[in-house]
Amino acid sequence: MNVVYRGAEATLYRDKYLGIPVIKKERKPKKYRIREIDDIIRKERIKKEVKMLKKAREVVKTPHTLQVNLKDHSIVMEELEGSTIKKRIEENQENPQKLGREIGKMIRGLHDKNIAHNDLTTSNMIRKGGEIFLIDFGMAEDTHRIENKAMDLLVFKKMLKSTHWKVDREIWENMKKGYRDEKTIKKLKEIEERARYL
Amino acid sequence: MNCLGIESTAHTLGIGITKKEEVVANERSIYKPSPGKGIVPSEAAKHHSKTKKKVLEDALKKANIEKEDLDIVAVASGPGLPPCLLEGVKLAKKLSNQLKIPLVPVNHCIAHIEIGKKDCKSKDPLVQYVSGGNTQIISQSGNLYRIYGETLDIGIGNAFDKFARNLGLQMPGGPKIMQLAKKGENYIPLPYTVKGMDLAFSGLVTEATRKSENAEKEDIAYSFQETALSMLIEVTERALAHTKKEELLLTGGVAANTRLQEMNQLMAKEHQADFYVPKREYCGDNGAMIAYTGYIYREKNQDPKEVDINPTWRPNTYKIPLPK
Repeated sequence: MNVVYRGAEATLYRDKYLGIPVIKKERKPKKYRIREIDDIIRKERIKKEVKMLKKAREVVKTPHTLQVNLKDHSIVMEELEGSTIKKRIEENQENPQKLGREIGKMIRGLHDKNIAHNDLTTSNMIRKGGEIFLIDFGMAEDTHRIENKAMDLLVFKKMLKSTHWKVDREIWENMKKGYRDEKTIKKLKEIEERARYL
Repeated sequence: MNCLGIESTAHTLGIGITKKEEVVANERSIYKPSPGKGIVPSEAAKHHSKTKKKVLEDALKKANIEKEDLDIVAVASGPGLPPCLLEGVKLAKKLSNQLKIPLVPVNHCIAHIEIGKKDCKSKDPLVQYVSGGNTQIISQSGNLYRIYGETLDIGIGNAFDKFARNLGLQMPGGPKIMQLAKKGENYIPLPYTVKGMDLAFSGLVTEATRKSENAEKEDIAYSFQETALSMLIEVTERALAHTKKEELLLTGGVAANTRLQEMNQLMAKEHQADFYVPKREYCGDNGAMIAYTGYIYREKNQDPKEVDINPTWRPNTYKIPLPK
């Protein structure tokens, strides 16, 4: 198996499963943290990911899970041939207005299903064909609280500001148009106003 | 060209001098709160006011120059505690007016980054900046330092100090927790709060304090430290994978924590990134970093009348002069 990507959460390998090309996502032990913390986090996140992926699949595009192995903390998923939205924005392959609205609609779908993703970055969004696939549900939570949904948006907004500073406002304004939920946006403003720095 | 830098954002009154890019003096005096207490801003400001004359004299003597040989004065005008910042800015304005030399306001966080880069010969790092009041994951993109992740409530150093005080330990609490943690063996589960690349420490402090009543001090200190630092490394790792930077620079007062250094080293290695920690005297608050940054950013000099303190100054608003 060859390493395709070494992320913060997991390492991805290219593999074959019943003859089809797949990706094995393995949450390897982190050498920097003690075993007790490492065990809790890896176990919790893989369970969460499997559960939330299943729920999320009803409203967003996400790769199919083919096999879950709790022993080595790995998930086998269908392989996604595409590139990250991060890379595509950097290479000017995305229209910020269209992209913003598209992402807004996608997040709204999740939130209506009471899912907060909690790591909404453009590294976790992959364009395949005409559609955006969302990955990495390890930190996601099942929540009806508007506060959690607003925090989810805040993570995305701050990521835009740091990573895509040339087009962050354009994407964000259009994200709001696609998201179309004034109540959550209002809550987000409240959180920002009481935040430490903003 | 001689630049004098004044640091007074929190408990340290530091005055440093650089000759072009070389540090030739780095003197300081540190305010120590009374036992069992945290920093009292007005008391710290009094300390700075009382000691500045002596620290300034020491710095000039160390650099072996006269006041009149100075060409630029730089001051950390934020972020920090307002009464403390005022003392530094007052002194800077006085020197600038008296000697008729330009005044350069410097962002304290950026000064930590710039001196760290210089000391470690690092070019384009992802920076883990950890101190009492600040906890940020920062990196340059375009002509600004961008904040990728940060604490949503208190700084990690402050979290260590608060928890130490709750355990009845004297300030500074960070080193004492680290020492106790070395003897801890049993992990007690504690809240772990991470949101994307951001993190929060208040819940951890509260719960660790509550659980400390029925646990060995060493064990709870160990569990607290491991949890807080694991959270920090996790968000840093996420930012490293996201930005694809090839260098990691640890700086700020909390960089003195050897367990934190060890964890960063292990994490960086997995991503084939080079890991750097500046010399101890440049990790804590110091005047040399303000002098050095003032010198390399000297084109940002301002009319002394317009310079004011900026207690909540975010580093991502301070434009970096790019090579022309």
